[in-house]
Amino acid sequence: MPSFTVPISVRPADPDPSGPIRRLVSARVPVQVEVAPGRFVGPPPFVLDTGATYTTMSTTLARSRGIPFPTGTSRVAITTAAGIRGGLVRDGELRVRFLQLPDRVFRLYCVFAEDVPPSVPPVFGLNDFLDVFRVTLDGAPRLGAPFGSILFETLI
Amino acid sequence: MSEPATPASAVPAGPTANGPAHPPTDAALARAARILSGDVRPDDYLPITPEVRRLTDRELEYARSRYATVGITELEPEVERRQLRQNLLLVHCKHQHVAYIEDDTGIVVVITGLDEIGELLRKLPAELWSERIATDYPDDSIWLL
Repeated sequence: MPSFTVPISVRPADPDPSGPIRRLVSARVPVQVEVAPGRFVGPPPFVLDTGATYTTMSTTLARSRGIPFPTGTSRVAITTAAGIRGGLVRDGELRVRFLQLPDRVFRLYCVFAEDVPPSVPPVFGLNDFLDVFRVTLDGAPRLGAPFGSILFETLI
Repeated sequence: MSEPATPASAVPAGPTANGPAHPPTDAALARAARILSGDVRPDDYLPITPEVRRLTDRELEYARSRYATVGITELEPEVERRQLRQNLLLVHCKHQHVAYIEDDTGIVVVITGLDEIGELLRKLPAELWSERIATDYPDDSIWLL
């Protein structure tokens, strides 16, 4: 099955000279989302989040980028680092493709969340992502990826 | 947050800030259409400022130290290119929604602003932007969870 790698993004940081934070690591994954048949736009890169249950995107962000989402809403309890709260969501799906594998479009379940600000990057959660990809996070430096890379192996 | 400044055609390379929700000006859309039609001018590209260079050099130094641990002695051009472009967006468009295109020369901001990007996608023909335009919200926040 086809596979591809995405370099891990790292930025040296020193916000607190006596503290533990020395580098900012981010599993950012650039993608394109199909907004109409054969029409693709690049939203902000998704963040691969193994702590997230669902692939999630701000509804406001989706609206701005012309990404279709259902009209029906439901209210669910959402747990974040800030606690548990009710959130208005829409159950939808994304048709995404990766720059390294442009001939394949993958359908992923997505929760469009009204309460998520558009400045928050969309995330790939685990729900059905692991049905589509085997994912390996590898921090070892390798050619073209001094900070490591993420290997995506397609399963379908 | 800075003052709203979706770039007008009179300020070709100066996407500087986001602003309150409002539609883009005709001049901003005309500039976007010009760029997406292929008429990219030298001053449309985001400039490599000393701050962009400083951030990039620091990251490349870190990258070299990582490579040294596995015996790789030279950074590939693609690594510098990637870090440089990341920093161009961060320095020039931090905390803004930005739509841009890339080519071998660099990055050209097409338009800035959440609503402005939406308007661009609705008003310009899809042939101009489909598969070409990327968007981002450059941010160097620390995410703890």
